[in-house]
Amino acid sequence: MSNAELMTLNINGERFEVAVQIGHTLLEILRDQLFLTGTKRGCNQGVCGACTVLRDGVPTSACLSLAVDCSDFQITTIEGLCEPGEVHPVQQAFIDVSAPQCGFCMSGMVLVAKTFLDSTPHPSRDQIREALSGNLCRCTGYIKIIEAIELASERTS
Amino acid sequence: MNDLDDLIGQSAPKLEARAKLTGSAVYTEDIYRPRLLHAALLGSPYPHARIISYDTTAARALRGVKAVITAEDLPANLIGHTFRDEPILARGKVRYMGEPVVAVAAESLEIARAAIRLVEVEFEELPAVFDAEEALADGAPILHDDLDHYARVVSSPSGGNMVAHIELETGNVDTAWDLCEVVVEGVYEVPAIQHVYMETCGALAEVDGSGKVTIWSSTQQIFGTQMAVALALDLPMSKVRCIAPAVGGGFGAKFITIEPITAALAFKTRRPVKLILPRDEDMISMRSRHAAKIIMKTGAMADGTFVARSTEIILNGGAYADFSPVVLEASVLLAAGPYRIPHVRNVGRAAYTNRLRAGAMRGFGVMQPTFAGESQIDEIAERLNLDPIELRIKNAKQSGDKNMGSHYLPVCRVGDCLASIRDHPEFIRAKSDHGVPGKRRGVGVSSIVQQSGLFSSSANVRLVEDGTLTVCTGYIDLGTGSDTALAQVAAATLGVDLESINIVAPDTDGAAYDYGTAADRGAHGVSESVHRAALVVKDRIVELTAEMLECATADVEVRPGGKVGLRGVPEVELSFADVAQRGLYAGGGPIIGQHAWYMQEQMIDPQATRALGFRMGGGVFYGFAATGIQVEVDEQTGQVEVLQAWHAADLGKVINPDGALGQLYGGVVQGISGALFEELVWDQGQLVNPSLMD
Repeated sequence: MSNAELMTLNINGERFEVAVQIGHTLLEILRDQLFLTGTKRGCNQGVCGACTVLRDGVPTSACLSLAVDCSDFQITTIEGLCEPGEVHPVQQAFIDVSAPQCGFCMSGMVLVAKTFLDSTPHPSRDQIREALSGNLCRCTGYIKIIEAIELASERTS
Repeated sequence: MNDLDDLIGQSAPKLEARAKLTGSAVYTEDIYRPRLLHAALLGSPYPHARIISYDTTAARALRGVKAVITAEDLPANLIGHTFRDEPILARGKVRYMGEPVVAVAAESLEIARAAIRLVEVEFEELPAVFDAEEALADGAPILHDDLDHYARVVSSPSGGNMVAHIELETGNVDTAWDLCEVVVEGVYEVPAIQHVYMETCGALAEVDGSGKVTIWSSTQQIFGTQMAVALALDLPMSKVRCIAPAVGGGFGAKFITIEPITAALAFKTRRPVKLILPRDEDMISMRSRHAAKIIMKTGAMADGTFVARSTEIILNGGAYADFSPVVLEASVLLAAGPYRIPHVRNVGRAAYTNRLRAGAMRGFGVMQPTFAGESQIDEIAERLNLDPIELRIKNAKQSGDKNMGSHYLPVCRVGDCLASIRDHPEFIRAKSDHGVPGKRRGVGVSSIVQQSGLFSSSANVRLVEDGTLTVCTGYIDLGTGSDTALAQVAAATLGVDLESINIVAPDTDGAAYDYGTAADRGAHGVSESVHRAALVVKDRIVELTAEMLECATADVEVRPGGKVGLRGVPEVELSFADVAQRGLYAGGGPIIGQHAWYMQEQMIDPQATRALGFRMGGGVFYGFAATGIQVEVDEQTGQVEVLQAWHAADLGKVINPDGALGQLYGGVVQGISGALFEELVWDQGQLVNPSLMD
C-alpha cells in the first residue's frame, strides 16, 4: 500500500499529527485515526450529509474531502461544537422536540442547522427546508427537525 | 393517585437524545477493538451460475491478509427465517448478482479490498429468471433444487420456484358478482424499493479464549442473530453472544445480515473482525421490499355497498425465501382493506427469482394490495358518482366486526379516522382547489389496516440497592423511542421518576428474551411484559415492607417517588432502597419480577373462512389509519408535487405522544417517497441504481 506522510490537522481547536496517505478522506482520518466517530459514514459519496463537518465554518462532506487538502483549515466536528458535557442551544432544541429517531443523520443535521442559523437567525420554513436539502433523514420525515430549528431560532431572539 | 396515568401519555424526552445529538451514541462502525481486522466481500458477478472452482492463492499471499474464506471453509449448514435455504457464502451456485461468495479479513480495509480483487472464481452461467410470473411458469430455471428437503417453519404449499401459496376466502365470491351494480377490475404493479436505513449493515465479531464469539451488529433482532450464527457455524448458542449498540434504522431489513460471515472470519483469524457494508453493496446484497403484481376485482351495489373482492397477488421474493411466506400471509389476510366486504377471496403466491431477496419492510405485505384496493375504491366512487371518502366511511369496518370472517376486531375506528380528514378545515379548502390549467390540483384519500404484535417477549425488572430499577427486555430501540416508552411504563407502574429506570442494552448474555423489533411489538407487547414484571416487583416490595413494618400486606401502600408506608399513617415510611437492602442483606432475597408471554394470534374459524397454507404468527392487534393528500400535477411533464398531507391513526392509549408523532410523520413521508420517488431497477439481474443518487 502507498506510503503515509505525517501532517497536522486542526480539529476542534486542537492540533493532531496524523499519518495520511494521498487518497485518505478526512472522514477516514477523523474516524479511524482520531476516533472522532460522531461523524458518520452514510453513503461515502457526498449525497447523504451524515459526514458533514465544518471547514472554516462551512459545512463540508468529510467523505469527499481529501485529508491532505485540509491542513490549512479549522475543522469542527460534532464533538467540537461545544465544551465536552455541554450541549449547544441547537442541540438542546433538537432534544426538546424529540427530533432524533435512529440518530445517524443528527451530527450532520446539527452542524448544518447551527451554521444556517448563524447566517439566518430568523428563517422561514422554506428557507429551513432549503438549508437541509443536503442532509438525508429516513426516520423523521424532517418535520421535527424543522421544528427544532424553529425552536432554536425563537430562543435566540 | 393513579400512577399509570401520571407518566403514560407524557412526551418524555428520549433517553438517548443527548447521546445522539452530541455524536457520542455508539453505532456498530464506531466500535474499535485492539488488533482489529477489516473485512470485505466478493459478490457474484452472475445472477445464476454454478461455482466450478475458487483460486484464492494470490489473495492469501497478499501481505496483511489474515483470512480468505469460501463456502468450502464453512459447515454445509443453511439458515433462513422461514425456509433454511440460504448459505452464508454461496455454496455450489450463486442465485443473484452480488450474492457474497468470498470473504476476506485483513489488517486494513484497503488490503481486504485489494485481496478481493485477486480472488479468482470460475463460474458456469445458468439460465436466470427475474420476473415472478415467469419464475412460476413451467420450464423456468429452478433456483432451489432442494426446496422440498429444506427445513422450514411454514406449512404453506411450495414447489418449483414457488416459495409459498396461501389462500383465504370468506363468503362466496363466485356467485357474488351477480349482486353487484358495478364491478371494477385491474392489474397493479408495485416495484421493489429498499429500506435505506441511514446506517448500512455491519458487524464486529470477536472470539474469546474459551471459543465464545461476541458480535456487535446493526440489527433488529439479537436472539435470532444468535441462533443464525450458531446454526451457520455449528456452535451451541451458549458460544454466541449478540449485542445491539445504537442502530441507525432498520425498517424491517436488519433481521440477520452479515453477522454469520463476520463471525466466521473472527473464528478463522482469532482476531476481532469488522465488516461494514459500503452503501452500494448493502443495496445490492441485503434486502428489498417485495415487488408485487396484483390482479384485483371489486364489486359494489348501486348505493356503494361493497359486495365482493377477489385478489390475486404475486410477490417477487428474490433468491431466498427469507420472510416471503409471512409477508404473503399479511398480504392475503389484509388485501380486502379495512372494509366490510362479505365475499372475499385472496390468493397469494411468492416466487423465487434471480434477484435480491425481498424481506420484511415497514408495511409488511399490506402496502402492495392496499395500493390496488384503494385505487379500485376510487374507481367505484367515480362510476357510482359517490364521494370517495363517504364511500369508504360507509363501508368501513366497525368495532366488533371480524376480518376475513375469522379475526375478531375489538376496536375499529377507521371510519372516524376518515371522517377526521374529511372534516379538517385545510382538507375542505384543498378539496375545492383545482389549481390552474397546466398545474392541476386535487386531493386523494386512502385508509389502511395493519396488524401488530407477534411471537414472544419478556421482561426482567430488578430493584437495586439504591431503590432504582434495572429493566431488561432484549428489545432494540432502532430510533422508535421504545427505550423511553418502556422506561415510562416501568416508572409509571412503580410510581418512580424516569431517572430511576435503567434500560439495559440488548445483549443475549444479559437481556430477557425478545423476538425483535418488528410489527409494533414494543408498544403492544414488550410494554405489557415490562408492566407485568414491574407489578411483580411491586407486590414483592409490599410483601417485604409488611414484614419490616410488622403489618398486613393490605396495610402497606406504595407511595410516589419510590416510597412505601403504612396506609393512613404518613409518618411511617420506608424507601425502596430500604426494602431492596433488607431483601438482599437481611432476608427475602433480591426483588426481581419477570414476565414472559407469547402474543397469541387468533385462529381461522373453518366455518367462516376457507384457508390454504395460512398460519399467521401474529395478527394479535389490528390497527387502522387513513391518509389524505393534496397534490399538484404538472400537465406537461406529469411531475407530481405533494402539497399537504393529513394522517389520522387510531393508536389507542399513547405512551409518548411526541414519540408517536415522530413515527407517524416518518411513516407518512416514507410512504409518499415510496409512492413517488423510489424504485430499485434491475437489468438482467444487475441492480443498476445501487446508490442514494439514482
